[in-house]
Amino acid sequence: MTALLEVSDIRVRYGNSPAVQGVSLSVAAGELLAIAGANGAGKSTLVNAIAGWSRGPAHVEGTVTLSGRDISRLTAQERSRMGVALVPEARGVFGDMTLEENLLMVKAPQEGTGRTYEVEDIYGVFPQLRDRTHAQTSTLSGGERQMVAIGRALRAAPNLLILDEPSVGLAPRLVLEILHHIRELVEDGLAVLLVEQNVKAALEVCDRLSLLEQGRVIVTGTADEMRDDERTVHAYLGGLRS
Amino acid sequence: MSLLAQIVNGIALGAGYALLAVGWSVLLGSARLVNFAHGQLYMLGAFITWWGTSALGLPYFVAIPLAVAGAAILGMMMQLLMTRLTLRQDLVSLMLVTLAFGYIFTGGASLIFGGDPQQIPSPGMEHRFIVFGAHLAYQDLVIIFCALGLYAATWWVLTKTNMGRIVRGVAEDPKLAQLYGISPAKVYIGVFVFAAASAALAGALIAPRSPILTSIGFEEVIITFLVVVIGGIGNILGGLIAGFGLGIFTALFGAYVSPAYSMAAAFAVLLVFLIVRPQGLKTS
Repeated sequence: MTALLEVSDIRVRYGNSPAVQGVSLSVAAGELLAIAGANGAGKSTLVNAIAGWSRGPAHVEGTVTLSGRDISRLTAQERSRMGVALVPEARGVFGDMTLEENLLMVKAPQEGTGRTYEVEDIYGVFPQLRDRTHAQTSTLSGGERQMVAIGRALRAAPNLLILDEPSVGLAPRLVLEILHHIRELVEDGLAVLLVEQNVKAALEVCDRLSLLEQGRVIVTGTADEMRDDERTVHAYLGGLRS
Repeated sequence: MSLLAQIVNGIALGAGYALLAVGWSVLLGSARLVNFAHGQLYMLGAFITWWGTSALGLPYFVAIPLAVAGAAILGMMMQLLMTRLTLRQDLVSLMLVTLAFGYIFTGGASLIFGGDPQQIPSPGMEHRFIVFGAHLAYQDLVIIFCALGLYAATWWVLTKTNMGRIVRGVAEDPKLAQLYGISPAKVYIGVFVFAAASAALAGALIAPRSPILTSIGFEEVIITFLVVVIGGIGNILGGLIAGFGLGIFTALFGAYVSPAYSMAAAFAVLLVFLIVRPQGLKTS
């Protein structure tokens, strides 16, 4: 498989403290790469750097290429127009707007990137959103808000979808439901980079998984390999082989 | 004059207040920005209109778009110079920088237009009619219709169009908006240009009521502030109601108590609002 996203030797620091220390990875179209690691391992910092986005003053080095084109110097909005869609941690939705307005405000870029999604297509992916279309987004449940955030990212017609901990604060059943929706999108040809603390759930849907520790990838393997990996089993699967 | 006549006068006055405040209402409410040069943009709107009629010999209604365009260009230049401050949402610095712009506009205007009082010749001021005992000029009708029309258009754009959704999205979370290909800097320029242009429109329409000086503008900023805060920040309909309400209050207070203290009384109302109902006329 040729990679859609190639990240090589990316380093991020905030002031003098390094958060990501030389990470390289790749994701192909129709592939789901999960990134797992403890709190503070640098997962969010890494994916934010790939999207060219940061809430704080981050210093980023390294190269990010998308379909062979170097996008390392582009701003977040430019990368978005090239097909990179990041759903940031803590469900980035516009709470003052209705669910429908959240979806409508994003338009696919002129030049073709990924598949385009009309609002109706989003309701096809997440049918439970249809009944809440005119609800103020701030009144939605955590799971619904997460679906809105993912739906809105899809509206930008991405070819790479980056999800930063979509499962935080959600009931386990809902986590699996959302991840299975994501898997369907991957089968459709979308490349997905998924940051997930719930390694067990991530292993159910991912093709490969990378473990991140102190800003470095310590191991990458296919889902099957990682289920048997000592470090994964010990640190994330409760010491029991499933 | 009867009570009804005073209310009619108040409505005419209040339409002007509402028109003056609409740009600020969008600026503060929808983009979380401030512009304390708003009153001076009002003054420039009035003076460019006067200059268009007297120096260029343009008809009054042709000079108005000239004034609006001039203020829009100034608004765009201001915002381009302040881009870094607005992207950091540094409201204190923005307040000081826009105050400085205001003084520069006053100085520049007196250099260009001179220090003498001028009168904008509007055909709307030449004919008057009587409604419930109140003497109104056709100019007052123009102001009332423009205020209602501009509020309706602003409300429609903000709530019904994608441009409005983008403005509201950037107001709520400019960082998040960037992830969807939206440039907050461009949105801020657009909102600032609208606010500057609407201040100039207010100046061009309201100023023919009395002689103008390049030193005007301070009272207009204060009135704008009153209307926006009483209306409830970000509440377009609230701003319209607050504008008319403040006009009627000022007219009644001026007629039955004293016109000298009507601004002080308006501030007393603002204080009461801020203490009892800090969200203004906003319902949620």
